Amino acid sequence: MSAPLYQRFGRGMLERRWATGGLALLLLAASLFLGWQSERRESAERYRQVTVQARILGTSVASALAFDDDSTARDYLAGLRLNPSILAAGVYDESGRLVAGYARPGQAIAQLASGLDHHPGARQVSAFEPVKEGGLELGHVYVRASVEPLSARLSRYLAIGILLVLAALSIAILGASNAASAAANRALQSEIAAREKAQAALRQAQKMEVLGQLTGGVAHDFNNLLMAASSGLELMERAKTEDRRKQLVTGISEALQRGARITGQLLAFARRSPMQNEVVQLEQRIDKLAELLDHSLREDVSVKFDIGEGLWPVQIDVSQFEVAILNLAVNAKDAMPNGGLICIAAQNSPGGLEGADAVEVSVADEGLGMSPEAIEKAFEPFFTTKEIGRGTGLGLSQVYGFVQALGGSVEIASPPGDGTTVTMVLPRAPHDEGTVAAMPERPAQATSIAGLRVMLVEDDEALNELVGEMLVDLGVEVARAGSAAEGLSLFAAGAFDLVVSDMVMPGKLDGLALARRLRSERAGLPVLLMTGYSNAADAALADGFRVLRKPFSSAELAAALGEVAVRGRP
Amino acid sequence: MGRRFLRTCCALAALGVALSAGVASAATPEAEVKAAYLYKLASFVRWPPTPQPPATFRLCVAGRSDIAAVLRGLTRGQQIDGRPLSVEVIGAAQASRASGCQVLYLGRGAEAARTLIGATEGVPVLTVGDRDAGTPGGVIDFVLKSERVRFAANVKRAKARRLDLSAKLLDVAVEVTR
Repeated sequence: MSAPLYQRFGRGMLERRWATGGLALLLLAASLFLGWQSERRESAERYRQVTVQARILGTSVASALAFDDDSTARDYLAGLRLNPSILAAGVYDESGRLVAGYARPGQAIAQLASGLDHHPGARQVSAFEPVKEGGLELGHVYVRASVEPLSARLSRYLAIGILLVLAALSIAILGASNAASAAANRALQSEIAAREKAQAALRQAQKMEVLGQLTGGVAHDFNNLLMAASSGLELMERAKTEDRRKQLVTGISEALQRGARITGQLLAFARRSPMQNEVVQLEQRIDKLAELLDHSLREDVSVKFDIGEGLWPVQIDVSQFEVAILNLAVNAKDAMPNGGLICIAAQNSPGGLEGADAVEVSVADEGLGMSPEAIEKAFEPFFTTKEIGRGTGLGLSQVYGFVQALGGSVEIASPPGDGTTVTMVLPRAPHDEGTVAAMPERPAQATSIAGLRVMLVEDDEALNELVGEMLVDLGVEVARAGSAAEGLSLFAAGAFDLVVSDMVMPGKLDGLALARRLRSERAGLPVLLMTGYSNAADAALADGFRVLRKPFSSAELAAALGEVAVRGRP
Repeated sequence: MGRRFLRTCCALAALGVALSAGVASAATPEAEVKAAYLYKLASFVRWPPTPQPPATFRLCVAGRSDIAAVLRGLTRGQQIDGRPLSVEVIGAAQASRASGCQVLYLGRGAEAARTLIGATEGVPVLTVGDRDAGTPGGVIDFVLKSERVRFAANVKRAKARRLDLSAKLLDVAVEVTR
């Protein structure tokens, strides 16, 4: 297949070459013919010009010839002499004798008309014209002139030609470079498009991979806790003693709390978790952290706390902080496959955050350390050095997101062979210590809400019922609505002290809009909004609503209710 | 023709005018030149158009039968404006015929010249006087200058006779009166 194709191609080339050669010859012949013709035209034109000049001279010297006025004839010839291309000229009387004439150096003028050369050499033309007046022939005039030499004309044409060629060349070069740059641009564009496409495909593939890892990990964790909860429930049925039953309940609620933590962490990655910042003293949280880490780490890994005296308060979302510490500790543990010590330290850093006071919290390990490349990419979402199935690549992203949201910073130090230290720099809370002390851990008491009339708005029927029961258990009167619209009419019908509403609900009105509407109807109405996750949570917080994150315990619900009831009270 | 010779002899000819007077048969160079000029002058002058132009172009010569003889020889078989030429000798006695001439040369005799000029007053006749012969007053007057026969032109008289003198003619005239 390729041979005939090649032959055909070769033949085509040959034919094209013949055609090109023939065309070139044709063009050459045509240009030669045109040149020859223009030469002839030039000569003919020059002859015509000389003849006209001779006739003018003849008419002018007619009377001079008729009345033998040689000086007048010479005057006219002198006029003709001013033209440098006139080589020789003569005025002959009726007998053919030269009356007046002149010749330039190197030229001759015959004394008798009969001796005139009517075919002068090349590059010359001559005219011999009779002088007549009123039908009377008075004599003749003779004019010989030069035709511009071919070389002179050619050099003139050459100069013009060179100019034309240069102009054409520059235009061609410009055009070519334009075309080249346009082509390069097109190539670049398509290259960019192709790369973008490839990158998008790669991103999609990575996303799918990460999703696989994440869902795998989450499913694994969830299966474990579901197993714990379901087996706990099963055992409870068979439990003989109250102590045993309490023990099992504790186990089940721990498993459920772990589930809540997992979803909380997931939401933190997605940064959809409403930040519930509060001003805290970090040292007061250490106990809880120690407990958290005990459950999460291996036996061969020990944790040491090094908390400085008199730490400044920081304003943080405590659960997010806990997750961040947990993530860092898990990373530290994974960096020490043969066990080791994790040191969690906290200290004040005056002017440590771009000149502002800050508290530094660091997690250090004695592990393998990180390469500079890994450090560079460590905070990128889904970046992981761990093997597939072990890490999601989201841990440090969560840390980064948490610290960034606070306006702090995070650094990784990993000197070769000396483990890794990750330091979170958290801004010092603007409040003084007095304010912090005044902030109660559990601000509301269950007793303060007993007897309140509460309207509950929740579209999920099961949740509606459960939360309703929780509220009843807390000693409040409850009226339940299944949607925001229903809530609106219900609120108009009864006198309520407090409103508890889900945020994300179908229909024109969501929880936040409903809350705003009710607030506008009754200023200072205590409202508690519940949400699993919501972009609107920030807006709700900005509007001054208390947001309770799902899932929540009965105690958390009581505390939140107490908070809004106290706040809403005039 | 040997004009150069003629020209060099112009002075002699002028001197010999008086001597050769009456000798019609022996043409002097002076007579030949003037005869030739009289013939050529007609080519540089335009006559007013007439409804019925005369059949012949009449060249009339008064007082110089020798010039008339030379003219006859010169104009034999020639034409002006497609008309055959006739050369006539005319005298004061034939003044009535003078108005039919196209060219009238007043060769000799001031009295006769005046009579003939008067007889052709306002008529398109190209009168040619001769200052050396004492017959001035024509549209054209022959003069002798630098031993050569030249002429003076009088445009005013030409206009009075409705004659149109060519610019080329004036170009070679030694004197132009306007």
